[in-house]
Amino acid sequence: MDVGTSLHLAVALDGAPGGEPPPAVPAPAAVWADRAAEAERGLLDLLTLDDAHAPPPGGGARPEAVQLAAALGALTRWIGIVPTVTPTHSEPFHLSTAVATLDFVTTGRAGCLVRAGLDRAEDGTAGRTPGSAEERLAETTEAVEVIRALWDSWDDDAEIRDTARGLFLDRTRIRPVAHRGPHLTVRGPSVTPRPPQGQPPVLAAVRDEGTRRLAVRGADLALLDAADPDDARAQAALLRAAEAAAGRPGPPLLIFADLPVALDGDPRRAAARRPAGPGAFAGTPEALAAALAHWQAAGLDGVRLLPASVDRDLPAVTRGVVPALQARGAFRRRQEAGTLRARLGLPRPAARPGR
Amino acid sequence: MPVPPPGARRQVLLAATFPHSVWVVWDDPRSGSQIDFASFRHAVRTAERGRFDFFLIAETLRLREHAGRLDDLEVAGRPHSPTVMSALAAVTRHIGLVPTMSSTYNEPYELARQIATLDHLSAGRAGWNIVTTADPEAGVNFRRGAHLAHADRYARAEEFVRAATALWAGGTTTPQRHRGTHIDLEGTFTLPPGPQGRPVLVQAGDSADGQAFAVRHADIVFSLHDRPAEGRRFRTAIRARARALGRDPDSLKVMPGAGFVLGDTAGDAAERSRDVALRQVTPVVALTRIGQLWGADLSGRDPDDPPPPPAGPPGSPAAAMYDRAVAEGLSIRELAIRSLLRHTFTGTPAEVAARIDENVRTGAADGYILAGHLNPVGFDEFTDRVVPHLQERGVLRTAYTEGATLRENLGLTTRRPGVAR
Repeated sequence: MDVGTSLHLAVALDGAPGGEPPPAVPAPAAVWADRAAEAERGLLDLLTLDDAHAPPPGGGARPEAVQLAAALGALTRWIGIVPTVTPTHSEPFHLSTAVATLDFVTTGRAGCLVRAGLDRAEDGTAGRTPGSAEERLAETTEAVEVIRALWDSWDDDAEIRDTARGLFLDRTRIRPVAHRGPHLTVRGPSVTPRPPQGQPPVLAAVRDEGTRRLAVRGADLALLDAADPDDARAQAALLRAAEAAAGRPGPPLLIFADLPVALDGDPRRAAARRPAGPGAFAGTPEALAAALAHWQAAGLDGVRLLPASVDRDLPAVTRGVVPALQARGAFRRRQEAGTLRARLGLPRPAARPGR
Repeated sequence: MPVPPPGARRQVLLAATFPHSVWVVWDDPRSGSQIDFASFRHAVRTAERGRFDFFLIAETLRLREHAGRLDDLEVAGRPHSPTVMSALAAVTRHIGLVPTMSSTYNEPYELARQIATLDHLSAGRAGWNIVTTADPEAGVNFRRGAHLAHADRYARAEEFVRAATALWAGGTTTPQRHRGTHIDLEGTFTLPPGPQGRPVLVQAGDSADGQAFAVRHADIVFSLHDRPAEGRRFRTAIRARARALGRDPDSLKVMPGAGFVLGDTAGDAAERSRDVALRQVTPVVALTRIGQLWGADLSGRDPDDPPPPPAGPPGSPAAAMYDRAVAEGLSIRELAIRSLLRHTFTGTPAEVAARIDENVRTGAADGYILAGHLNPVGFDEFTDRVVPHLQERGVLRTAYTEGATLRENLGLTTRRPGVAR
């Protein structure tokens, strides 16, 4: 399929905020695996897993996202797996090796959704007190640089297994990152070899000026909260301007909109479950497929669907929305080989020393 | 908990560890990747086929360096240990999964969540191998920065385990607050207590502080004492200390790390042991490792020559090794082989099974944490050839108890959440 006409589709496997509350006991791996398998059967590009260092606001259980992602990664073959990480509350060194490990588990289907940890309710869990909101955004940006530098601290071919000289590694192909910034000092190199994608895609939600700066400086893919396609077009323009101002190297940011959705063959039943949030959609799968054309025309690369009810709306996406998009020639019809980066149209970067 | 029938033989506990070290024979044609997930999947499934109790992965937080240069001799390049275990939980059904994580360079809230998630995902098969991180240089990769002194590391581990245990027990309903010298934590946990109450705690570390910590908190001591006489002394001492604390000594299992080399006859096994040793300790490995212990550059020397006297003070480990080399007339390479390698169990499969059984029966160990010398196929031979003998002797399960947790499989006293000891 021509990538230029293909819309990318992601799904938040935890559903929409304020949607169905999570169960008090974490769902068994099998339940999550069924959801992931449904998304994979529907040929969606990637799934995201929410996380925070606190229980969900309405109660219920919250598994740690990278661990859940790893289990789902072992049970799927194709879909991208993107857990949420919080570098202000977790060590960038650990996050770097954890996401790299997820990339090995999935043979190149891992990413991470970086959040800035602005919720002060989580502060007591960090073992230290992060700074102001502005400081946290700056620290998160710096942490993403460190995580990326650690992924690049091994060249792809650092393991040489030179039998004649008895050397397992070529030490010239592994370098310390020697990062000294305002918030972090990390020497490196990583203890985990360079992951299969080299750089697993980094996602960031853009909600305001601060998170826009974070996305432009650190992310491969931005998730927008947009009320409608016009709003999305305006926000995308702000992002492009910020990219230009920052002199961002590499490919431009991919831009997705976050759309909470309630889907039903009967539009009135869907409306009764209408989720909250900008861009929220309630209606038939066919109507959503038609609406997505307007979002795509606004200059978006894709959308992340946040189901009001994962168990009802995810199958409606995979069995209703996706076939309708395929009929319009706007979505892939089969699994395409390759890594998550490749599917998103991102080239695989070479390891850059001192990145 | 399954109770062994009366007259049942004392069960042997078995764990498998995935080796990342200089002792892996990486130039063997059967040797595969040390990092691809397929390798971990193969190793854990082999151990599960062998009805092992658990699979353990060690941790390092910094690549090994010597004299400011990266060590290029050993199999390096490891996964993030809990993350690969959560993936393995999805492709196994019965075997326990024990990641190694440092109490020095993690925070209890995050670590407790990772282990609790693994426990829920695996239906009660999670453990935590607690290390305090001996590498004084690992701090350069973490916010904590400067390394903790040895005594402080165990003081922190103590507070850390109490906080983690309270989080596991408190679940999503009871907010936790811990104010200590090393741990400052406030928050409500994001998961309810897991299927086994408290995940199985393994303690690795042989120091006095480490042993004191183990008898207070651990379910399993990962010891170094793989020789029977030493093992018996150590296990007897640990059990006495546990009893003195009012603890049932059977609630603390002692599992030495051990290597193995098998052969069709005793002579064949000895020959293979010799061959494996020479492949583990190549000339360059011998000169580098002994040089590191000596604190000297031995790279120009002939590994078949006797070692030079080390610079260290009398009574240092290097001095003791040197004395041994002189007394036994050992070359540098022979000294490295004799001092550093542990082919604990060398023999035919039947002999190895008999020795493991005897060691456990006579109190030298409760079982062993085995390391092979090949990735990822190091346990294939053990599972195929030794395990049937252990099963025939009635000291190893032939099938797992359906739905049993790791804690239950190990025959450990049930520990309710919240009870620190």
